[in-house]
This record gives sequence, C-alpha cells and structure tokens, in this order.
Amino acid sequence: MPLGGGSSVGFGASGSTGWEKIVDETLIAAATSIDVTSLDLDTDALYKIYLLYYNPTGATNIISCFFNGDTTATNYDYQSLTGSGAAVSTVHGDNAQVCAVYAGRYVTIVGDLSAPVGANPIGYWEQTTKDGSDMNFYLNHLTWTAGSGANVNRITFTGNQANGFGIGTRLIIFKVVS
Amino acid sequence: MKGKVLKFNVKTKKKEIIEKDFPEPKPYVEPKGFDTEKGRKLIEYAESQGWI
Repeated sequence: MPLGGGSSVGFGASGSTGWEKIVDETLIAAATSIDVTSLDLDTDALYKIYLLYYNPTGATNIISCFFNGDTTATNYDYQSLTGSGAAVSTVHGDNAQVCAVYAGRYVTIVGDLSAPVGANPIGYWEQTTKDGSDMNFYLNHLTWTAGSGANVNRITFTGNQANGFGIGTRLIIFKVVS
Repeated sequence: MKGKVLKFNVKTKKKEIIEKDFPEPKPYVEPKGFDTEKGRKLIEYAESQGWI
C-alpha cells in the first residue's frame, strides 16, 4: 500500500488494493500434512487463512502449523482459550499446535498470519465447532519463537493422526495486494 | 507412521502428493476447564455466608 507524502497517509487507487486468493486446494485423498511453498510474508504483509477441515480418523487430530520447514516443536509457543458450554479453559504449550479436532468432526479454522518487521511471525487462529446442538470456540495465538526476523516462505499444516486431513478438506489463503 | 503430504507451490501452482514418515502420535489430553456456572454459584454461596 503506497503511503502519501508529507503528513498525510493515502491509500492506493481504487482496484489496486485488496485481497488476492493465492491458494484454494481441496483434498481428493486424505493426507497427514498440507505444505504450501513459495510464500513471501515480508512482501505480502498478511495472510488470511481458511481451513475447512474434516477429521476422518477415530482419534482427536492435533494440528500444528510449522513455518519454513522448521518442524522442531519446541521452536514454537502457543496460548489458547476454549469455550465449551459453561466451561472455559486455557492452555499454554511450547509447540506449534493451532487446534485439536475431535474424531469425525467438521470445523472451520480461520487464521491471520503476520510478522512485524524484525519480530517473530505470529498466527492468530479461531476454530468453531458445532458439538451436538452447541457451538464451541477455540482461540489460539501461535508464534515461531525461533523465527525472529525470518521471512515466512512456507507454511506446513501437519496433524498427529495418519491421513487426518479428510477428503474434502479445503485450504484457502488470501494475501494483501498492495 | 506413514502419511500423505499435499505439496502446493504458490508461484508455479504445481501440486504433488508424496508419502513420508511422521512421528508416532501422542495421545490428546483434554484441558481441564473451569465451569463458569459452578463458579457463579460458588461466589453466590460465599457472598451469602459473608465470606467475601
């Protein structure tokens, strides 16, 4: 987004800014991991990520998000807040977890990924689950503690259950056009 | 454990599915929640007893 000169701050001409869809992939076979390469977060500034997810396995699938191929769990840190019925819970973990989805569930996971200049990439994730007739929510903040100042060029979603990303799971990513 | 990976390159739009080994999964541990309804009743009771 070009900035105006002097003391004013301007926006680009109409039509030159907005969101551009750069990934829209639907699984036609179950997978354990979805790996997106050739990203450029420094240039793109912000990614909006939608994961329309189905867990086809018989166990809870813990989904992690790794950056630039760094799959060392302790190089990440997350804090979560869950609301389920009248119960709330918080968890902090030294790993790259962005959510945990019960067996057989369909959920929508929405994420924002950004990296302030010279700082650690930060992901904010929001998961909504219909549990019977109730809605549950899960909020998660994830940072790549070992990635200070790094340009994120690769995002890898990996579950801990074999082929835990079911057929029909769809990943959509938008970038900011400036 | 063996599993498939969908690889997608944003620039070339090329995608491929490969198979690779992943670490064996650890069991999921349900976080312990705080029941806000029970908490409200506890506070009401404590107030009625003059404890708080």
